[in-house]
Amino acid sequence: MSLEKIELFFLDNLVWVIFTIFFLVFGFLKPDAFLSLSNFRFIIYSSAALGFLVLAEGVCLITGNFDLSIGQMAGFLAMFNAMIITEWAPWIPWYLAVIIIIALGALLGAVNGFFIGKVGLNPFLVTLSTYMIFKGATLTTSSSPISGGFPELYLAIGGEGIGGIPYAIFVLLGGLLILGFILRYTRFGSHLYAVGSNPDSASMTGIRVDNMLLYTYMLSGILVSIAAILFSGFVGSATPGLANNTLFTAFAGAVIGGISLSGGRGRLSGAVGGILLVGTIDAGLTMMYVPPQQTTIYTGILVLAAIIINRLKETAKDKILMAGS
Amino acid sequence: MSKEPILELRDVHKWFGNIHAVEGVDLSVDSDEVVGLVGDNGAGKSTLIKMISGVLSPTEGEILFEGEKVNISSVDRARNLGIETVHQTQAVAEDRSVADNIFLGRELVNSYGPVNVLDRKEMRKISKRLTKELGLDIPSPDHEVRFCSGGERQGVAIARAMYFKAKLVILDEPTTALSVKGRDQVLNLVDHMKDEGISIIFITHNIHNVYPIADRFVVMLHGEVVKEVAKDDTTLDEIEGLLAHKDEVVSG
Repeated sequence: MSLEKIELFFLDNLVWVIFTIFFLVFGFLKPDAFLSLSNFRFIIYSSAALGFLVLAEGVCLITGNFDLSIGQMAGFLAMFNAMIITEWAPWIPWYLAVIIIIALGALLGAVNGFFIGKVGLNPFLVTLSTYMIFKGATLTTSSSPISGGFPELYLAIGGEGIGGIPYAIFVLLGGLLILGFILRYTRFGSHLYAVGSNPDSASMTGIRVDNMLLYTYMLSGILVSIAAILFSGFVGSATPGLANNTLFTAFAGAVIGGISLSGGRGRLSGAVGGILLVGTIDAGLTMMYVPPQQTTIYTGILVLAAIIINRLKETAKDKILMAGS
Repeated sequence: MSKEPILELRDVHKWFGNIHAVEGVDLSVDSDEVVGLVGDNGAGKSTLIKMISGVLSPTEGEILFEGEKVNISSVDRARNLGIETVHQTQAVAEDRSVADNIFLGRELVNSYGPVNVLDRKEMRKISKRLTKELGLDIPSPDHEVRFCSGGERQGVAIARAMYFKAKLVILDEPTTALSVKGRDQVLNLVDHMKDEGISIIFITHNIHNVYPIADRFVVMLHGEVVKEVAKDDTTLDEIEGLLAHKDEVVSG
C-alpha cells in the first residue's frame, strides 16, 4: 500500500477519526460513565431513530436536493399512526401498524417528490411548505400525547431488546445493509448519484430524472417512517413534539459524514460515522451536565467545525487524486 | 468502398413557428464514412442533428436508416437503431467513475429472481479494455471523471458508443472546447471508430477541426445545404471561402 493510498483511506474515513477523538476526550473527562459497554450501547440505541433521519436526508442530498420536512414528517407519522392504532382502529395488530406507517411515509415522501421531481419546484420551497403542513397536521391530529392503547410489540421495536441489545440497533443495522446494497449494487442507486452529480448528463444518457426524484423522496419518506416507529418506542408514546429539532441534527449528521450538499457524493459508511458522532457528542455533553440549551450551542459549533474540516478534506483528497492522474 | 447509405434524409424541413430552421435538406451518410457537417452558428446544424438523434421530429420529409423509413421519436429509439450522439458537453457525471460513466443509464446487471444486481466487476473489466483500445491514458476504471481532461471525457462518451455497438455516431462540436492535445486525441478516436466500421457525422463550425479526418463535407448555411463535396474534389480554401462569404452565396 502506497503512502497515497493510506492518506486517501484516512481522508475517506475522517469522520471515524473525529468520532474516535471525541470518544476518547469524553472518555478521559468522564472515564467511569463514558467508557462503558452500556454507554456505548446507549449511544447507538439513542442514535438509531435519528440515524434513520440522517439516512432520509442523506438520500435527498445525494441527488443534489434536500428535505426540510423530515423532522415534522416523523412527528406527524408517529402521531397519525398512533391515532389509527389506538383510537380509530384499535383492532389492528402491530405488524399491520408497521406496514401502514411505512406506506404513509412513502405517500408523504411522494408528495414532496412529485412537486420537486415532476412539477420541478424548488426543494427548499416545497419542503418548507410541507414542513409547515406536517407541523400543523400533527397538532390537528392530537394536541396531547398518546400514551396508552398501543399494540405492545409496536412500541417494543424502539423500546425493548433481546439479550441486552435493543431491537432498534438491529433495525438500524438492517436498514443500513439494505440501503447500502441499494446505493452500491442497483441501477437505482447508480442513477441516484448520477442525477446528483449532473442532472443534464443523466438525462442525456436516458435516465428519467423526474422519476428518480419522485422515487428518492418516497424512499426518504419510508426511512422517516422507520424513524417515527423508533422514536415512538424510545419515548414509549407518541407526542406532538416527538421529532422537533431533529431536522438540523440530521442534516449535520449527513454532512459531517461527508455527504455533499451539492449532490453526487457521499458514502453510507460516512453517514454511519456522522450518526454516531452526533450521538456521542449528545451523550457526552449530557454526561458533562451541560444544560440542554447550551448543548445546541456546542452542537452548532461542532457542525460548523465539521463542515470546515470536510471542505479541507475534499481539497486534500482532490490534490492526491489529481497528482495520481 | 461500400456505397450503401446507412442514413438518408430526404427533403427534411423543420419549422419553429414562423422560423424555417431547416429548409429541405437532403443528406446521406455511407457506411464507414466520416461526414463533416460544417456551418456557422445558426446555420441549422444543431436542429438537423437533433432530428437524427431523436430529440426533435421533422416537420416535413423522410429519414431512412439502413434503407428503411424510420420515425426517430426519442433518444432511446435512436439508440435502439444504433445511433449515438456525443455532445459537446460530453454528458458525463463528473463525480462518478469512468466505468460508471461508460455504462450510465445502461448498466450491466446479474439477475437473481426479481433482483437485479449491478455487475461492477464486468463493467470495470470492459471499461479497462475499451479505454485501452481507444488509447486513453486513464489510470483506472475507478478514476473519477472530474479528474479527466476534456479529450479523455470525450473518450469516455465515445467508449460508450463503441460498447453499445453504435452504427452511426454523431459528434456535436467534440473538439471545440478542447486544447490542441485534446483535439488530436479526439481525432484519433474518430479514426479508431472508423476502423471499427462506424459511420460518423462530425459537426463543427470550424472546418479546421474536421478537415484532417473527414471523407466528405456538407456545408450548411441558413438552413440549407449549399455544398456537398468529397474531400478529393475540394480544398480547405474552397470550403473556408464558402463559409466566409456566406452572404454572397445566398444572394448569388
